[in-house]
Amino acid sequence: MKSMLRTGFSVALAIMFLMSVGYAVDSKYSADTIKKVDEFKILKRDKKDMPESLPGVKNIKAEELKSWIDQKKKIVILDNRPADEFEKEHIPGAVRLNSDDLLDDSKKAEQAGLKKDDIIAAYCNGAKCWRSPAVSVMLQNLGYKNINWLRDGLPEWVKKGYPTAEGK
Amino acid sequence: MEEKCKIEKKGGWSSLLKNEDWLAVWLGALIIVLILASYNWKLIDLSKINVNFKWTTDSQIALRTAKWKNSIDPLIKEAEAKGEQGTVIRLQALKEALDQGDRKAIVKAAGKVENIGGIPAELGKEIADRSKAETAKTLKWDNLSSVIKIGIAFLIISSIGIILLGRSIGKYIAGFPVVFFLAWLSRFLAGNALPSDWGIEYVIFALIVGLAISNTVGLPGWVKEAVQTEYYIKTGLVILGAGLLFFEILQAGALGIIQALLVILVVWYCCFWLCRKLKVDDEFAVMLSSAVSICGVSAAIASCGAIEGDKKKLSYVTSLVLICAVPMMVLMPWAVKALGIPDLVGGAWLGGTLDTSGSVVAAGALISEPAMKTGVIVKFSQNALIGVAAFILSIWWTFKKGAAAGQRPTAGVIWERFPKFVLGFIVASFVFSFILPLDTVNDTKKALTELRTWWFALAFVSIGLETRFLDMMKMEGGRPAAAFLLAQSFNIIWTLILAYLLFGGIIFAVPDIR
Repeated sequence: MKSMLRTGFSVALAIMFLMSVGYAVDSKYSADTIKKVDEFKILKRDKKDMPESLPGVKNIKAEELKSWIDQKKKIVILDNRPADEFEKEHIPGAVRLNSDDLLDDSKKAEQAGLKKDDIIAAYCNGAKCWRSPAVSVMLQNLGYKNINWLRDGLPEWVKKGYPTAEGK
Repeated sequence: MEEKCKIEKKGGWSSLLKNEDWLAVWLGALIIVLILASYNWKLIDLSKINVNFKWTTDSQIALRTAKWKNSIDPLIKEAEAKGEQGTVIRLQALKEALDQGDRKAIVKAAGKVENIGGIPAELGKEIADRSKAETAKTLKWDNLSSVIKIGIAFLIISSIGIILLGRSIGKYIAGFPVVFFLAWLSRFLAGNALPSDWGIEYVIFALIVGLAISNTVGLPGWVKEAVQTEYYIKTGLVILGAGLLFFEILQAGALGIIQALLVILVVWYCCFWLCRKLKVDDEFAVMLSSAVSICGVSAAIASCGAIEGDKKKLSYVTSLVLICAVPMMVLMPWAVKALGIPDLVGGAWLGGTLDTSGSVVAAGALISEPAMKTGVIVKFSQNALIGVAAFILSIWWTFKKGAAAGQRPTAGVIWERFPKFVLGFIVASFVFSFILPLDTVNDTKKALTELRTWWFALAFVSIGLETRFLDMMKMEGGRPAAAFLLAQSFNIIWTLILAYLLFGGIIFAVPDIR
C-alpha cells in the first residue's frame, strides 16, 4: 500500500513539474517582456484596467485611427483577440494576430506580414483587455518601432458608429 | 448498558488510504491532475466538460421582451446624450429584433450590443444568453452525452475510494446512478429561466428533490450506500481550492480564525449555561455546546470521544444538527439578500453558524461565489480548531471526573481531529496560485468549476435524502433540543455581529475575494 501511495505521489508531482516546465513561451522575449505580459494577465484576472499608457508606445483614439483609414495612410491594424471574436466583428481591414499565438511563437508576427518599420495599430476589447497591451510590448521587444495602441479598443470604435466587418 | 464513545486510535500510514478525509484529498487531486494532464496534452476537449443547463422557452422570451425593452430605453437616451451614435443604432436594432421575436435575430443583435462594452454589454449578454438557450439544446444528445460521461467518470473515480473505505461497492454502484440522476434533474430544473429569475438555484432543487423522496416514499436500501454527503462535499471542496487564490485564503483565514475563536468561546459557554438552566445533563450539554459552537456533526463526534459520552446522545445531537441545517441554509441566504448584507459578511456569517460544510457551500452558493468562498474559508478555520477544542475538553473532563478514570488526554488529538481535506484544499490553492502558469489556470478554470459543481450537487441531493423530519418527532425529551435551538439563535446573532465587525470593513479592510 505504502509503495503504491508513493508511486501515486511521485506521478502527480512529475506531471505538475512537467507542466510548469512545458509552458511554451518563445525564448526570444526578454524576461522583462514576459513579466509585463504576466502583469497584464493578472490585471485582467482581477478585472482591473490596463495601464493608461505603455513606455515607447503611442496611445491613439478611435477618431485618429478612423482618419488614418480615411486618408488611406499606410498602416497595419492588428486585432489581438481570439478567432471567434474576430469573426463576430472587427475593424475593417484588420489583420488577426492573437496575443496567445504571438507569445508562443514570435514568428507569428512575420507570418502576419508585419515589417519592422510598419505603422502598427493594436486593439482588442478595451481598457480591461490584456491582449493589445501585451502584443504592443512583445512587438516592441521584437524590434518593431511604430506601435500605436488603441487602448479603448473595439468598444470605442463601435460606440462612435464607425463601420465594422464580420467573418474571416 | 449504554455504549460509550471511545477516543479512537487510528493513525499511522494506513489512515492515508482508509480515512474519508484523506480519500477526498486523493480523489480531488486525481481529478485536478487529470484535468491538467488533458489540458496539457489535449487528451480530451475540456469544453465538452461544460454542460449547458440554461433553457428558456419561447413564451418565457416573449414574457421578458417588455422588461428588456424598458431597460434598453434609458441606455439609448444616455448614449444619445453622450453622442455615441453607434451605441444608439445597435440598441435600436436590438429593440426591433425583440419586437419581431425571432430568437436567432435577437441573439445576433444582442451580440452586437455586447461589443459596445459597459452596461449595454451586460444587458446584451443577458439577452443573448437567454435567447440562445433554446429548450431543445439542453436535451440534445451531445449535451446529454457529456453528462453521462461525467457521471461514469465520477462513478469510476469515487468507487476507488468506496472500496478503500471498505464500504459496500456493489450497492454503491447500483445507487450512484440514482443520486447522480437526481443531481442532474436538480440542475436541469434550475436551468430554466423562471427559477433563475427568482434566484432559485440547483441547491434548492437538490434539497427539495432529496427531501421529497426521503420524507414520502422513503429511500430504498440499495440507494443508501450512494448517499455520501461528506465524501462528495469534501472532494468538491478540494477542487474548490484550485479556484481560490492563496492570499485570499490567508486573508480570510486570518479573520476567520479570529471569528472562530470568538464564536466558539462565547457560544460554547452560552449553550452550556443554557443547558444547565434547562437541567440537561452535562454529557449532553458538552456535545450540544460543541455542535452549536464549532461545527455540528464532526465536533459532536470529537467531543463525545473526548468525554467518552453516550453514543445514543451523540446520534440524537447528530440528527438535531442535520435537521436544523436545512431550514437555516435556505433562510439565511434569503435574509442576507433581503437585508442587503454585503456578500462577504454574509459568507462569514454562514461559515460561522451553519454546522456542516455541505450546508455552508449550499447556502453560500445561493448568495454568490465570493460569499461561498468566504463561508468555506471561515468554516475551515473553525473546523481546524476541532482538535484543539477536543483536547481542552478532554483535559477539563478528566479533571472534573477525577484523573483516575479513562485515558489520559494527549496533544495528539489535535492532529487526529484535524480535518485533513482542508490540507488538500490549501495545497490545491497553493499549486494554482504559485506553481502553474497563469494560462493553464485560466484555461482549466471552467472545467474544474463544472466538476466541482457536480460534486456539490451530489452532496446537496444527499443532504436531502438523509434528512428525515420524522426523526425529529421520534426524539424523546424536548429539553436538549430546546437548548440547542436557543443557543443556535444566539449563535446566529452573535456571529452576524462578529462577521460585520471582521468582514464588513469596520475593524479590518474588507478582504479581496472574487
